[in-house]
Amino acid sequence: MDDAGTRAHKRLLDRIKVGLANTEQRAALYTGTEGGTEAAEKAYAAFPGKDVLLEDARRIKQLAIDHLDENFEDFIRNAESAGVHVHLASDAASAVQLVLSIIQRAGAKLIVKSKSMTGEELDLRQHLEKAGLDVVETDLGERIVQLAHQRPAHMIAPAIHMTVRQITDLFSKQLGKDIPPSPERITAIARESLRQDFLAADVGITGANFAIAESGAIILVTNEGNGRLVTSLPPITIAVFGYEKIISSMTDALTLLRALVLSGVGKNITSYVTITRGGSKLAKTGLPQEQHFVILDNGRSKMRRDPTFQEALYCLRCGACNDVCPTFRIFGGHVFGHIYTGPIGVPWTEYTSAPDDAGEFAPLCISCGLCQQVCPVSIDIPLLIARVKERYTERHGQLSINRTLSNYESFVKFASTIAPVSNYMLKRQLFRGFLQRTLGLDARRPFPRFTRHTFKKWFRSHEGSGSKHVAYFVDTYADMCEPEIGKAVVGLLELNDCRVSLPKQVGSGMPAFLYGDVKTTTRAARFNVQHLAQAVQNGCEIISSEPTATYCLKELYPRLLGSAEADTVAAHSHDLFDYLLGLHNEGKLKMPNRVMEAAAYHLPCHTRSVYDKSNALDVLWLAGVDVRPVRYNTCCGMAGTFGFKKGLEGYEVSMAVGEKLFDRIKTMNLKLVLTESSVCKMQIEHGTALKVVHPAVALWDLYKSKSRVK
Amino acid sequence: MTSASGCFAWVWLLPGSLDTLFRPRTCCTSASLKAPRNGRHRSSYRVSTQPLILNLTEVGRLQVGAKPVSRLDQEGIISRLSARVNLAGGHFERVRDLKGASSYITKIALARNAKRIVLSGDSLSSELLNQIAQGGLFEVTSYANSSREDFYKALGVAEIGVSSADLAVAETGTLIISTSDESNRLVTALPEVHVAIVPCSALVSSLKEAGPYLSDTIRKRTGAVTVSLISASSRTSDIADIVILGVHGPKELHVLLLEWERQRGF
Repeated sequence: MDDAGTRAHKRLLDRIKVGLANTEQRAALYTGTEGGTEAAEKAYAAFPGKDVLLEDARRIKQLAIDHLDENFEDFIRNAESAGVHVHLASDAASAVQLVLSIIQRAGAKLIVKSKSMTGEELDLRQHLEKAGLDVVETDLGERIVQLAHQRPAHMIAPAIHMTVRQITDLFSKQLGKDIPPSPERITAIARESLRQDFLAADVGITGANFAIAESGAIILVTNEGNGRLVTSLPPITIAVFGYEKIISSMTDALTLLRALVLSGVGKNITSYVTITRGGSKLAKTGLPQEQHFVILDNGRSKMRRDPTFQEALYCLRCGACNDVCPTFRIFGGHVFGHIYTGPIGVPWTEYTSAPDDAGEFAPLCISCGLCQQVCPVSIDIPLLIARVKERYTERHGQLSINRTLSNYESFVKFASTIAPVSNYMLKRQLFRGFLQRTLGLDARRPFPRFTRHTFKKWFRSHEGSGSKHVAYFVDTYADMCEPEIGKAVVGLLELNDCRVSLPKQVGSGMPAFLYGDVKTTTRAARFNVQHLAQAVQNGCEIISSEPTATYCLKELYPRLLGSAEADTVAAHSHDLFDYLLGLHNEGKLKMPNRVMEAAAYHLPCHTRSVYDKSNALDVLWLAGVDVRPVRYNTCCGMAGTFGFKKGLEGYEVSMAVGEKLFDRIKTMNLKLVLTESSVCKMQIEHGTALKVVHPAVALWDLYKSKSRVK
Repeated sequence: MTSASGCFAWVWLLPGSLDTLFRPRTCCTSASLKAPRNGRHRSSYRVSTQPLILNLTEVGRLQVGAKPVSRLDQEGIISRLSARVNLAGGHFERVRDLKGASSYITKIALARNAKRIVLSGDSLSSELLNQIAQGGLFEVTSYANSSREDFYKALGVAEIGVSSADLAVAETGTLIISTSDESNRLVTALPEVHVAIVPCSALVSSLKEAGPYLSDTIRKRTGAVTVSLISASSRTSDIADIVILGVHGPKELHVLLLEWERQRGF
């Protein structure tokens, strides 16, 4: 890695250190983000037709971006014919200049602003203040970060990282007197002072959630209603927004509005939605208001020309990816973000700021895939982030630890070949200290036990029979670390009349993807798809027992390769339990039926990303096992090889992410934990000291203990 | 153009002024309005041939409901609307007529020790002036009956703002109010209490059904227009994720359903 890269890496580590130590902020962030994710989950559960809505939403945005040129012209024509002054800005500086000249021409002094990410992108408030203007943010959260001289820490909840105490201190300082630490009181104080600003303001500045081509109107979505006062009281209003906000019709807007609000705040609709065009008659003077639209490019058309990054323009700014992101929950947008925060902030920073700004915080993404899963328009954020990382390493080189871990498979193979020597060595603290210093693998992280009696060796001499043909994609862990999983999978499949084959295959390649080495992952993808497609042609369904492997087969490979072959493999690939549930639906499932001790269950992110639920849980319940899911909706923090990296680069972040999960599992007071993922298993065993077992192993052990079969 | 929006286009042509509030049915079907004469339109227009109150919005457009709604359906829509409004922290109340509305407003004004009430410029709100002002308990300022300066002053100090709604959407508990005069919008945005009067003819079941109205209201108007979708009172959760009402605008939202027209056999 070159000097600039090393310096940036150092800066990130410094910020990680400060972030980890700030327990007060971490508590506030976690409450806010987890609350956000849970609210959205609950709202969607109560909303009929989620899938149709979200499919429509993505299609609408896709069409809008495809037809942006036509919509753009219509929008401008319709807005202008209704009396709106439309201005186009190619970059941030010219947008600021435009806004400034409108304000200065009118001789305005006091500006009220409603919250807008585009405004943040332009540093608009800071520029206006520098020009000697009095600018007041009117969204309460944004007002708080303005008083604290900070940036928003979250796409829709700017002050999510601050506690009541900190906010009270801020307002006390501003008023010059002590106020009680009560949110009601602070809000009342803010209401009073902001009301005066609204009434006296010369100019109101807003963003826009949507801009409608058919009518030339813009839509503002708010709960506070500050957007209404910003647009109704001042004699001049200016809306600054990116040109990707233009969509074709009102009907489309209503669909997107539903998706935005459900994902963003977990409600059916916000308190206020304002649709406005042309200057209405002012209450004070009766004269028509002067309305300006400043439409911004600033990297967007470049983004639109890039076939991979184009879909980042679908973003509705709901902030759901911020809420669900495991590392964002620890650090917030000041570390995990540049101006645009959280996962979607990475591709947006790449195009609207300097690409190096994006590459600097992109390593905080640990590729759990949850951001895409919660995204209402299903933007492939994990792939976009991996591409940003890839470009960054092309410019600045790769960290040596990342290079090592990208080639984890040869490392695991070696450890497996020399087992049990490797196991002995990896338990010696002296050797672990050596590994930490030379390779950068944290000495505190236990390695899995390696074995030379691999699953693949066992399978060579295994003879099975059955009428249904399935091919097993085993992945590294179940092969070289815990072959019992592979054997249990084969056992359960054969119990259900499947003939299992083992096509040629390599590991999934996911660890390389995590570090932006997309080429290595693509190589693995090509190899696996080629051989698995052969198996599919021979009439096999593909089964995998590792969630990451299923995620690769069903989600990642088709996107990386874009080939019909990859799509076929994806369509015929199943998580083991998805396949078993399929058999159950046909009434053909055979299951052990015997009482087992109660267990906790943790849902791995990659299973969640593919199926949006746990099939294993369903099968375990079918088998009559008393298994209780842990209340937890993000990554365990291990993220493949991430948790092996030393100190602030991996291990400490990983353990901070997992903290809540460990606590909740421990409070369940159960002795056994079930989860499909090998990395979740390592993390939970390390974090809770409880026994963690793959559900397939649990079920197979039940069967082998001479149970009745139902 | 779909048949529903065709119906809208036609209703659009109706001239609007205060005295058309109780326009008899003959007026609606008068040839001078260039109503399409084919069967399709006539059947989709059935609802407006009933004796009803047409909700006159100040943008000069008559709204007669998106499609014919049977009384049974309407009961379902009302109960869903009521549930939604209450769920969002609002207050839903059925009132018989404008007199009922005014006594409800009087009641809440007295309970809150409110002294000043502003009435939006739409016809229904304007009608309330005499009724509420009668007792002399409050200082009532109506957009229709006062100068711009007086109304602006009243807006700044009023505790209660009263407006009607063009449409009320049951699915989301949303009031849709359009205007091209900010005075009217501020009635719903500045006072701490917003009371919205909803005639039965303004009920629609889903946001999707309201789509053509929203689209047409903006598209077919030349010049300025602002449409507000109001589903709850002003709220924030920006401090520690705790919900606080009334951060900028109304702390309370009251939705009054005007049942009068229904009792007349709607």
